[in-house]
Amino acid sequence: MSGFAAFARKELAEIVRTWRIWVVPGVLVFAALSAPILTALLPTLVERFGETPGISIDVGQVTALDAYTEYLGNLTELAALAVLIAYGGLISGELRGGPGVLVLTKPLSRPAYVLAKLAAQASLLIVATAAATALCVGVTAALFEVGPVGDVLTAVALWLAYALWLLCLVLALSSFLSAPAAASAAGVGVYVLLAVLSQFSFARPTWVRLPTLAGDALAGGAVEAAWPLLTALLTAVALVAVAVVRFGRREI
Amino acid sequence: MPERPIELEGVVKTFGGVRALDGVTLSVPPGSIYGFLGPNGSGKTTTIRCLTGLARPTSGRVSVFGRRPFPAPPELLARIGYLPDVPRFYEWMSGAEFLRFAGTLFGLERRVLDERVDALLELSGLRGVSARIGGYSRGMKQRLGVAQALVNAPDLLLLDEPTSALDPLGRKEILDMIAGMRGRATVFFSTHILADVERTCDTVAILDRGTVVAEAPIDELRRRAGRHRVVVGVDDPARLATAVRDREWSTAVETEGALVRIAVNDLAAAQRELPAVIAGLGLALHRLDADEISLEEVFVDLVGGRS
Repeated sequence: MSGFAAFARKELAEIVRTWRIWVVPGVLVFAALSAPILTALLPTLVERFGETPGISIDVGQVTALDAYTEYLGNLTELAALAVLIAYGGLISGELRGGPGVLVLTKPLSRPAYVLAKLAAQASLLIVATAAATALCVGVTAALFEVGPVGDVLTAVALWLAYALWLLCLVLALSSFLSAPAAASAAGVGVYVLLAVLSQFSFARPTWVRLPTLAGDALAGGAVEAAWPLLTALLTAVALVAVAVVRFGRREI
Repeated sequence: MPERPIELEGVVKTFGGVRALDGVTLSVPPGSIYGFLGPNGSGKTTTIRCLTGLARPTSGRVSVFGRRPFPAPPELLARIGYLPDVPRFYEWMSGAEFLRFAGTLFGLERRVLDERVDALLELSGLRGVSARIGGYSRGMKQRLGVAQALVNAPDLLLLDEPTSALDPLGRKEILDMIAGMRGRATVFFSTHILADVERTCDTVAILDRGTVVAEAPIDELRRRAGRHRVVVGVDDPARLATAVRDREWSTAVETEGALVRIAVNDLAAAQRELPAVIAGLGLALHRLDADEISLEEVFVDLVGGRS
């Protein structure tokens, strides 16, 4: 795969030296910090602003598990959407008025172009998720107690597998659609559709259940994740293959 | 016989219902500096995009060093340097960083890369410029574009309007650099600036509405169109124009006020016979000048003044 290493190095440097370092990692850090802090403040907030004459709200004793549940909720909704929106132009963005034309007329194969972008952004997502989770655990430990860290790690790992699948989805969409906004919108559409499908029993052994399984794992239940992970892997490979083939045949 | 760097045969490229290229056929000799002239919208950039593997022809044959460029194999791209009409870069990089990055895509060794980046920064006048490319002027970007096209010491240099954004000094430097590549590499450059072609190229193709209307060495093109022109001032230019139109040495005749402009393919014959023709018609001769026809006149004649 000609040019993969050089182009992947460029992609990583671009993440570090441009706005890209702030978008998805920024959302993840926000999710990690806001979850334990808002959970800790919840009883006070309810006491101050939630009182309605005749109605009494008792939020009870908030715990580390509540903070982690909030964090996972942030990941599933906020961070997953951030992935779909931020990466809508993963392939097409550099071609529309960008330097893609210059690099693709050098000995950089088109598969290498696609895979280097995927590798760099997947690395960013993994590192940022790990850092955000460590931050969340640290802040939670400071405000409550350490809590069920093992369950948190399992839950976040399952969410991360789903987020990486979404990255492959938006990569494939970006290889078809020239407009980044169109690819992002299509990605959000698929995301909503999968969320609906995950409610049906036939979807149980598939990757669409990964966010639900993450919640189950955090609640301390036993999760059977082998089939969902396997189907996630297989469909992700298929999406990447589609992106590579489609981009290889595309005029620029 | 050495392989032809570029050969196009009946190349058609359509966008929707529009034929951007309509049967383009041309052949570029190895080692030549080949000017690809045409008015705006004539299909120059589309042709170059077909040569670089960015676009696929609808029909016809495109061959670069004997290979089909779509999809472009990396071994073929390793022999090509390309400057697009509006080069775009990673604006967060410096010029030196971009050249180094481009060099690594060609797999250049570190020592060779260091030497080449130094030389190209010097050539492009960007040595010592540490600013990010985002802060460059259009001319600086154009010069960096030329430099990155040379980073692999290409066998074939494809330049799309390389001088369009440059000031006169920068333009001269780039044209001198292109001229300096004669014999070392084949240079194929598109432009609508006739003076650049006249000054630099040995062979030229003229493209109009997606069709090559002429392809020849510059001298031959001038000769075909009538290499020289004679300007005659007489008291009845219409009669003189009619009288010389069918002469063997006359290739084109037009009148303008009291002047008759005659494109000729044999200047000596024209100079010998014209005074006798004028005397025979009983006309008064006010002026008789001879000069060379410029490429611009050939161009305007071929594309009908559309540029």
